[in-house]
Amino acid sequence: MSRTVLIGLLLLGLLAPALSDYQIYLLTLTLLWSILALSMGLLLGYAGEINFGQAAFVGIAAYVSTLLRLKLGWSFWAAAPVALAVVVLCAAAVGSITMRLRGPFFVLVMLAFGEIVRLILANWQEVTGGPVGLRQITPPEPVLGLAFDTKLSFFYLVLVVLALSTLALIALVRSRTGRMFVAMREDETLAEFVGVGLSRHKLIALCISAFIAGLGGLLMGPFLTVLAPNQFSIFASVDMVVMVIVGGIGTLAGPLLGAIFLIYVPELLSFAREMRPIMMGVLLIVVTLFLPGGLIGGLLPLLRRLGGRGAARKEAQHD
Amino acid sequence: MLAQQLINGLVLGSIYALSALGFTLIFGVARVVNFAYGEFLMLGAFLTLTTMTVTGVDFFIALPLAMGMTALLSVAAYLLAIRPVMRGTDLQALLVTTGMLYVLREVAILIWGTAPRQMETGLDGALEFGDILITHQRLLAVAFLLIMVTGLYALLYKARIGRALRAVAQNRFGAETIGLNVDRVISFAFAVSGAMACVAGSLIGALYATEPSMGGSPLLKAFVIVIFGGLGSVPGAIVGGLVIGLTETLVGAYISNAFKDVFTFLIMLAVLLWRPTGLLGVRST
Amino acid sequence: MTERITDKGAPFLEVQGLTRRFHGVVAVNEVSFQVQRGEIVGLIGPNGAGKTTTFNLISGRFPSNAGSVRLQGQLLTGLRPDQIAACGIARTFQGARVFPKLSVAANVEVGAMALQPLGLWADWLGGAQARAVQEQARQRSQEVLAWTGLAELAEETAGSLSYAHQSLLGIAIALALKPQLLLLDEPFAGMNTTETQRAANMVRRIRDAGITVVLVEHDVPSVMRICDRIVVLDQGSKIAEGTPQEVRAHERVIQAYLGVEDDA
Repeated sequence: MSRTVLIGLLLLGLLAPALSDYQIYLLTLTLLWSILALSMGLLLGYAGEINFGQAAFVGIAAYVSTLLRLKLGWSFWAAAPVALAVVVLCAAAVGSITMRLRGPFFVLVMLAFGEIVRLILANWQEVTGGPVGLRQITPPEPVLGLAFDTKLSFFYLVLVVLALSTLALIALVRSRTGRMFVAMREDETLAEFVGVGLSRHKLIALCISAFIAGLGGLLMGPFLTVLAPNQFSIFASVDMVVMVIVGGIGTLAGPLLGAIFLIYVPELLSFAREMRPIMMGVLLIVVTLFLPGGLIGGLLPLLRRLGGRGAARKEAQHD
Repeated sequence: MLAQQLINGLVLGSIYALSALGFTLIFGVARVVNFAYGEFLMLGAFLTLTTMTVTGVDFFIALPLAMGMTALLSVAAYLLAIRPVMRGTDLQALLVTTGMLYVLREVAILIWGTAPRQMETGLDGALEFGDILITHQRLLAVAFLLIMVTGLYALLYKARIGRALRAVAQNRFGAETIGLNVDRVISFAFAVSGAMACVAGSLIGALYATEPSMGGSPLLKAFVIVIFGGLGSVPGAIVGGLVIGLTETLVGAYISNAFKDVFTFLIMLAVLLWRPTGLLGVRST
Repeated sequence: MTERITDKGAPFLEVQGLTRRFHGVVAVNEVSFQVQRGEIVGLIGPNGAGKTTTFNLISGRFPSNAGSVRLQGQLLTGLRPDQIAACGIARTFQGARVFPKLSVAANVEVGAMALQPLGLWADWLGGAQARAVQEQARQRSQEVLAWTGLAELAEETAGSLSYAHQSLLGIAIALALKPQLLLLDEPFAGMNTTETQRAANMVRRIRDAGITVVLVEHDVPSVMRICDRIVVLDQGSKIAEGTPQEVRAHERVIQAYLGVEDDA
């Protein structure tokens, strides 16, 4: 399934120059959210942890990189690694605290972490601009002969970041570490007793997940041109969770499908903005109760019929 | 000044403790973290308000009626959405209750709109002790807390259903074996939780404002309180609520008003580091 | 398996004064026994005797309140389950735990590769070392599946297997770790006579392959047949220890089992 995703992204890249500005904008937004959903998909679908503070990682990367650019005049490309390093350090710090917590405690602590970050962003007026946030964020500076100041060129940047993230996660899922994640997800106790260090693996998953969320955060500033604390609330994290669940938990293609379904499709069908939350709520309940495999879970039987049983199961094993 | 802040803190703490009671009861009995709990607070407030506006009765008459309605809604939510996933993973219960959060909030917006409303309790006036001022309305918070806690303890320790609640809380499978209808017991717990949410919500609505997004903050505070005091522990919820209320008020007055919430969260994290099951937590094997 | 500096004079597995209290009830009370290398030792006792709790204490699932567990002189108490696995102890679970959505082969591969030393980056980048680890795990898995007679079911989903097969798979996963000590938690539960016979033979073969076995069981006749020595628990305390003949004739053991029937 993930190979299909990469092919899809390639096709999208080839089609892009022919699309309207509005389509490009919409697709860029969808792909950006795909990166965020992917980060949540790793954590939720593979490590089995739900993080309602995930948006904090996005926000930290977004703010740190933007502040370095706006206040210290750094280039986007110099600020990016620093911002990502900060995010991973925060993830490691929080992770080492939450490592020993199980179930609801982990959820609540991550939620608290998310809120703390949002509160700091909203109240540290001198640095973060408070509730109003940061404005007039410019596109990334040209590098290696490439410019990113048009909608189309920025779209390609986001596309490449998503593709590379997906590739990296495909490699991770197939690695020994990835298979230990899956084991943990299947039966945590059994995994522990065959030698899987639970805390260590959860920490690794959290840090990688935070890194990818951070990549999304880096791109958010230039895309939206403004950053405000309320963009990084618990609801943003829940949005990511819904995308993963609806798309298909435990897969890499699921988060992308979820993002398409929850961002692209509603915009395309001109869903009233007010209907989105209730749609998300209903979807969450319905999918959890009746369709635990999400959209992918619904598509796999189709794949089976098209590609033969062996092929579909092989895909399922590797995803 | 300090005395006034202490009183304010106790009042706030009472509100927080009230908010956390129903939440901790559900976790104690059903082991469910009910993310939609804040929305029941909100619905309770709106139901009280609407009962008052539609029938013209007093706050104190509307409240019990609204409590009944909220209790019913709470049980309905359990039967329709939560019970199906209770034998599943914790994640599923979390997802379903989060979904309910969105749905309930949007339904409230559709019915009542987003503008904040005021609710009149009819209590004017205040008590004065020298420099200290407590409005009668704010005393209501403490009074309600005392009434609710007394009622809850009477329920848990004097009533027959109370014994059933405690049995299920201690050991669900054991309770089933001795013939308790666990489903009915949990439904009852949800009903009680809903009623308590209504009281807390109506109080907050009267003291501050009633609006669809009002459930978010109490939910978060309830989380912090039950972690601080221990998931499933009623005394923990009370102590936790009062401590958090006092801390928040004092920090807000003397250190920083903007960052007082951050302090609260940091204290919670510190408590968890020291005692991973909360201060007075129920250890679930 | 890494060689640990061990006290060669010490018994293979030494359980000393192991105690565990739950909510005021003493589930395991000062239990002490030793297991020599290459033995099959059975842990039996009426319901509630504390057998599985003792297992859980030895394998690190819960911390003990007092006492110690040593493997060749090395202290195990206080270690996490994954650390204990790295010391060479593997276990199965009551009710047969497997990884339900993975194939049978994949299940065993998890056991085979979890303990292999491999850095995160080397693993992620997929170089020669990483590929070797996964390949070795695949081979080990095939070996173990053949040895346990599960080879034909290799591609089946673990969750779809019969209970008896899942139980066998649990043992296969544990064997994949190349343990020195195997703890079997009710290996014959839910099996009919033929299946029990086959499982009992497998336990003997495991011992013959050089793995020391300690098992908890309710099926006393089977235990009597295959164990070299038996430890009997009742209400948390050890009441007897010895060869099957010695234990069978032991007064307190007879009382403990008969006493239960009288009360019931």
